[in-house]
Amino acid sequence: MTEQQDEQRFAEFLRDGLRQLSTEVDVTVPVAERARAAVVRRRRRSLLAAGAATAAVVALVVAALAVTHGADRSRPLGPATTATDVPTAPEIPGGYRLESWHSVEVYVPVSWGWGGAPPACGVGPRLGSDGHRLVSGETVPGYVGRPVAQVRHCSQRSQGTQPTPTTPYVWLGASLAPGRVDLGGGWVQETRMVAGVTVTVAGDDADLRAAILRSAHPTSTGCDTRLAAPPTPGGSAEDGTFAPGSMLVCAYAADESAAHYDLLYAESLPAGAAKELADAVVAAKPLGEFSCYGARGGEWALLHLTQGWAPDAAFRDYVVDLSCPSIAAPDGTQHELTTADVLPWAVDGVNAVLHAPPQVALPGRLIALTR
Amino acid sequence: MGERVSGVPTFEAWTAARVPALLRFAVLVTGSRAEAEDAVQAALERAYVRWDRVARTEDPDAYVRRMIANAHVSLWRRGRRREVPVAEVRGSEADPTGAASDPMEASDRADVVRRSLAGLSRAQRAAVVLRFYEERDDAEIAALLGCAEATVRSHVHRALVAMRKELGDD
Repeated sequence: MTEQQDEQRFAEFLRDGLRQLSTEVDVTVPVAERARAAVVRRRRRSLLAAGAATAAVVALVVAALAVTHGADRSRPLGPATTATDVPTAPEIPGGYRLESWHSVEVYVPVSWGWGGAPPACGVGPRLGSDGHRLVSGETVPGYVGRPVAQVRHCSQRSQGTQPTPTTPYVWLGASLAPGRVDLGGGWVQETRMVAGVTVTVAGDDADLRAAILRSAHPTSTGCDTRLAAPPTPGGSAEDGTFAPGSMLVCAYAADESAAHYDLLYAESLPAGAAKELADAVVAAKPLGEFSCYGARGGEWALLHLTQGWAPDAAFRDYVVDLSCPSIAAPDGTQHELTTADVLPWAVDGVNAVLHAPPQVALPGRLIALTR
Repeated sequence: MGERVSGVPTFEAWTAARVPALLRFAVLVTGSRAEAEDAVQAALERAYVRWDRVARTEDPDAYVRRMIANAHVSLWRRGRRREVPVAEVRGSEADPTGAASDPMEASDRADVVRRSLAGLSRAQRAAVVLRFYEERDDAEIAALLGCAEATVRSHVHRALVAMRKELGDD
C-alpha cells in the first residue's frame, strides 16, 4: 500500500467515525428557544438597568427573576426601590434595539424607523426599520429622531412648526428643556437629561414611554463618543490573512469650529458587510496627488473591522471622510470613495445621520444633499 | 422577528431546520455536549438580535458555524482549557484502516475516533472536524477559524500525525 493510499484509508476511517459520532448527538435540545429567551431577558434587564442608578443592581437581579417566573408585566411603573416593586419593560414583537447619540444610548422597539428631531427641519420619520427611505403614505410604528436630517437645507419657515404627533418617537439631543408636555389625546412628551444629552420620548403608551426613558444610559457601544480630531485609520492585519468577522460603524460629525467630533450613530454589522467593505476598498482607485489628508470638520465614519470574537483579535480601521470624499485604508492610503465603498455600511440609521457626497451615486442611501 | 420578509427565512423556521446539524457540528468540534449547547446557544443569540441582516446579507449557517468554531478556538487561545478526556486508545481492537460493516464495529470505530480527537488541541480538533466531517477546503476552514490557510494545513497535518500515533498506526 502506498503512503497516499494509506492516508486516504485513514481519512475514510476518520470520516466514518465522525459520521457515527454525529448520529449519537442529542439534537432535541431546545437551544433556539433558550437563545430567544436569553435575548429577551437581556433586553429587559438592559431596559431596567438604566433606571435609577442606586437601584440598578437590584433591578437587574429581580428583573431576571421576574421574567423567569412570569411576573405580571402590567404592574404600574415607578422607581425601582425594592425587590418586589420593579417595573418591567413592555413585551413587544421583536424586542428592542440600541440607539446611540453623543454620550447617550437608549433602547427603542426594533420596528421603529429613523428621522429628524428639533431643531432640524424635516422632523418626523424618514426611514423604515430596515433603513429604506419611506415613500409617501408609508408609516412606521415609531421613530428615532436626531437633530441632523436636512438641517443644512432647512428653510426658516419650517422651523418651530412641529405638527401634532401621530407617531411615537424618541428624540436624542433635541433642543428641549427637561419636563413633561401633554400633547392631548393621551399623548405625552417627556424630556430628561441623561449623560449630558436630552432624551425625549413621546407616545400614548405610558409603560413604553417610561421603559424607554429608564433605559437611557451613557454610551458603551465601543465607539468613542467624542473625538478631538477626525478618526484615524489603523490595524495590523496583512492582506490575505485578515478574515473580518464583524464591523462596528461609528458615525461622527464635527461641531461648527471643528474643535471636536461627536458620535451620531453606532451599529455592529456582520462578517458579510465587513468583507464587502474590505474587498471594495482594495478595488477602489488610490487617490493620486490630490489628498484630503489632515482635513478637519465635516462628517466621518470609522469602520472598525475585527477578526473573530476574541478580545485581542486582529482589527482594521477604515476611515471615511464624506467631505473629501475618500476612504482611508488601515495603512493610511486614501482611496476613492465609490458606491461599492459605501453600500456595505450605509445601512439602517446611518442613512438618517450622514449626508451623501454629491460625487458618489448612492440612491436611497445616506441623506441626499439637495442643490 | 417572526415575519417573513421578501423570501428571507424567519429565525424560527431557520433554526427548526438547522439546529440539529449545528448541534452535531458543535459536539464534534468541542467534544463536550454541555460546551456544544452553550456554543450553539451563544451563536444563536448573536444571530437572533441581528437576524434580518444576517439572513439577508450572508449565509446564516456559515455565520453561526463560524461563531461556534471561533468561540471554541478562542477559548483555547485564552488558555481556558476545560476538562477533556485523556486519549488512551492504544491497543484498541478497532481497525483504523478497515471498513466496518456491522453496527458494533461502527460503534467501536466512533469510540476510537472520539478518544483520539480528545488528545488534540482545540484548534486542531476544529480543523479536523471541518475538514473530514464538514468536507471543507483550506480556504473555507481558514475563513471560519480566522487564520491563514497555511495554519489550517499545519493544524490538520499535526492532528493526523497525533491521532495515528495514538492509534499505533504510525
